[in-house]
Amino acid sequence: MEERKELSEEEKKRIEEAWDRIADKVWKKLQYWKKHNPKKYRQFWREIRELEKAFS
Amino acid sequence: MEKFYLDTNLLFGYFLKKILERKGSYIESKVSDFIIYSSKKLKYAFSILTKAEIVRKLKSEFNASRNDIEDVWKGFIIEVSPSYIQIPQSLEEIYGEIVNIVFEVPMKKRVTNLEHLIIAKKNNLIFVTGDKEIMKKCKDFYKKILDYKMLRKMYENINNLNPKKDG
Repeated sequence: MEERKELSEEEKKRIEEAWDRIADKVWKKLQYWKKHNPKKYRQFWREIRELEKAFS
Repeated sequence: MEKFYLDTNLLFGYFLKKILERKGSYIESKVSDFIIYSSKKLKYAFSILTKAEIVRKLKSEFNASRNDIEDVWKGFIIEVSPSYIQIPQSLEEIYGEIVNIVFEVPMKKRVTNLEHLIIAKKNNLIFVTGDKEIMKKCKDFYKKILDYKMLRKMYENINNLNPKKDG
């Protein structure tokens, strides 16, 4: 179904732009949580820290 | 060569790093870096269930568009080169096994990680999970379960190098 292949420059550009757009949405949501749902915001970062700890 | 079936939590660490580094935050991610460089020595695998969970998170929690999610998923496939594991077993067979497990051991959490466990078992994959309950209670049911630290250690043994020097 999904195997590694070489990407064209156009595909690479499209993927980079997709990362950028998703990053904007994630960042906005994080800022929203920080202001309006600090519990969720803290939980988000806590889960990341716990995951990172296993690899540090 | 053994294949490692990663749980969604670990895989999502990869996606988060790629996302947040674009915002100047969370630039150093040991999780994401590990997945990328270890994929040159270890063979990773995912199923349609893994993809469904990543899509759900990106769509439901962050409202990402379908096209963008498909594109970043493609980026992940290119960078990490995992194998796609088709699930030939029927739902009846998979959930039959889950029912057997929950009859035997009390499980507090919902069954999604058990679904991953059965997929790993049925396809002879090493299941890598951060779910402590699965680690603790399901080893008798399927031996090939590793937590994240065990995966890292196994990689170090295979590579015979400190992964920090290999990044």
